[in-house]
Amino acid sequence: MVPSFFGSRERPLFGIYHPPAGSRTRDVGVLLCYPAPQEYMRTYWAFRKLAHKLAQEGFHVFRFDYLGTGDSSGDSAEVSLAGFRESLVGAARELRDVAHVQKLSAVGFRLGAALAASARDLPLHDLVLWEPVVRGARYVDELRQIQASELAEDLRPPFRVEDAPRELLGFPFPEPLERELRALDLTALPAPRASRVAVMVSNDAPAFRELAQVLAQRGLSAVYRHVPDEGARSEADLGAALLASNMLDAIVALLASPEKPRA
Amino acid sequence: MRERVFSFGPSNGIVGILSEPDPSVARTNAPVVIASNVGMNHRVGPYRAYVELARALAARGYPMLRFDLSGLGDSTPRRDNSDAFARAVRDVEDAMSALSERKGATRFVQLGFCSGVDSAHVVSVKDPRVAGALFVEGYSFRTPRFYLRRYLVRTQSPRFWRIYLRRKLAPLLPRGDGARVAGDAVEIYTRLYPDRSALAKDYQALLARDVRMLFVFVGGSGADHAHNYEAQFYDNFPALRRESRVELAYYPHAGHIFNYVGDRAELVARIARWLEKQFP
Repeated sequence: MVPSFFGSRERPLFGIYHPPAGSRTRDVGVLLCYPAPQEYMRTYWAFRKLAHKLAQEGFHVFRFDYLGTGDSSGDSAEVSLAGFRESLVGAARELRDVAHVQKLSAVGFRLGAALAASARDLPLHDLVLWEPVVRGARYVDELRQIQASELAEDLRPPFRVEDAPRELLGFPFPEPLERELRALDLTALPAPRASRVAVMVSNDAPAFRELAQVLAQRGLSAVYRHVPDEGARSEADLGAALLASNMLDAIVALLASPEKPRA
Repeated sequence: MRERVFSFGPSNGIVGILSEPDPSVARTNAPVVIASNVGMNHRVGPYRAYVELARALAARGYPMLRFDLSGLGDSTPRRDNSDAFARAVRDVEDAMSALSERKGATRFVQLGFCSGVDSAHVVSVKDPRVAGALFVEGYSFRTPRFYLRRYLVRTQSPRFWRIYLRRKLAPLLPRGDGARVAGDAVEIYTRLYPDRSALAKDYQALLARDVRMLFVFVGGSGADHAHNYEAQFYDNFPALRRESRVELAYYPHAGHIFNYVGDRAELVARIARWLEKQFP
């Protein structure tokens, strides 16, 4: 495991490269795309485990922090989807350089899935959309609802929901980011540039099935996988750390599988 | 300001990020602030608090190392039979040794936040290289005045009763589509506290070494937080009340892990001011 800063000297990003660790080496790099800052902390352990499992299967793996998140440079108040997409493209470049691979796949969780699916500058071999944010407006509303619940439990809240504060669940939430998120609709975007797409969820919600159908209708080799996992939910969950052991194994199995998925 | 990966410990398996000031603002012999995980959070801290703090301190001339304890975050576990607490103490000691060897650092400030106070406190007491200690939401003991204030809140706050009743009735009410019931977010942290008199002796031992201390407490978001008035710390440790090398910061409305942006900004600014005053 090799942690490092990469990208420009002025705005370095942080990432961790996991070289292949098993008995075989594949000529494929896998980018792991974190969710939004509000869900990032609970995901960290699961992503580390997923990276380890994929490396054991022979993949070159790279997990990275978007600009303004984690250990990457940038202020938390400066985050934007455009910045996240640029970070993803930069991470792809770094993985190709470090691992000497050309073929890249991506696994994105929640907002990370939406970013990977909407990255037009990034041709991918496999794209795994793990519990994706399908419609950003609904996602923002979910997070605001959680915030409202938490404020209602606070004996001395610093602000009211009606004040429409520019912070959301502990993180700055700049207006441009909210606009970008509310405009996000994966069902309306052009098809991702991927040879194979998998929508993998632990909750069999209609929005996910709809997304898989839309992707298949656009001519993609798309598959829908329902992987029950204890304690999983489809909406934003900011509670305990994400474990998702069944899902992690399912993702590894799918990426390692050479077969064409059945529609 | 420059940040770099700083790995140390057995097989360099402990992962940290060192934030260093630009040479134009670096202070001679500035202590290095050292922070590690808060609960299961990795080295960035709750809501990225350690990243914000490290960059703010570096801008003022103070380096800071944030790292993952062995077995947490991105650090590999230690291959010994010691318990988690003993490993944490060794991790912190190894951090200081590595910074001494590679950066020439001679003195350190331990930052302990919530359960992180346990190892920060022990290392601060036993290691002469520690020149300062920052204890955020650390050991707190209830006093008669605490109980009186808690009683007053409960009897005089309509909001308290609305929250209490809502929690009690929530399981009985039907949930609408998409309705979300806030979980039982009562802040209950079960830890083995040192005895109060033992702590008092430890604090005197630190002062005998001229260690500077900043204690930070919050009032919490509920009515059952362990601390509910500013002087509570000094009521427990009266010998420290007039000690200029001990400072106290109390944020009556902040949550236990500073979950609001404004509260975190105040905490960062307060820590920076403390450093500038105690380690100019």
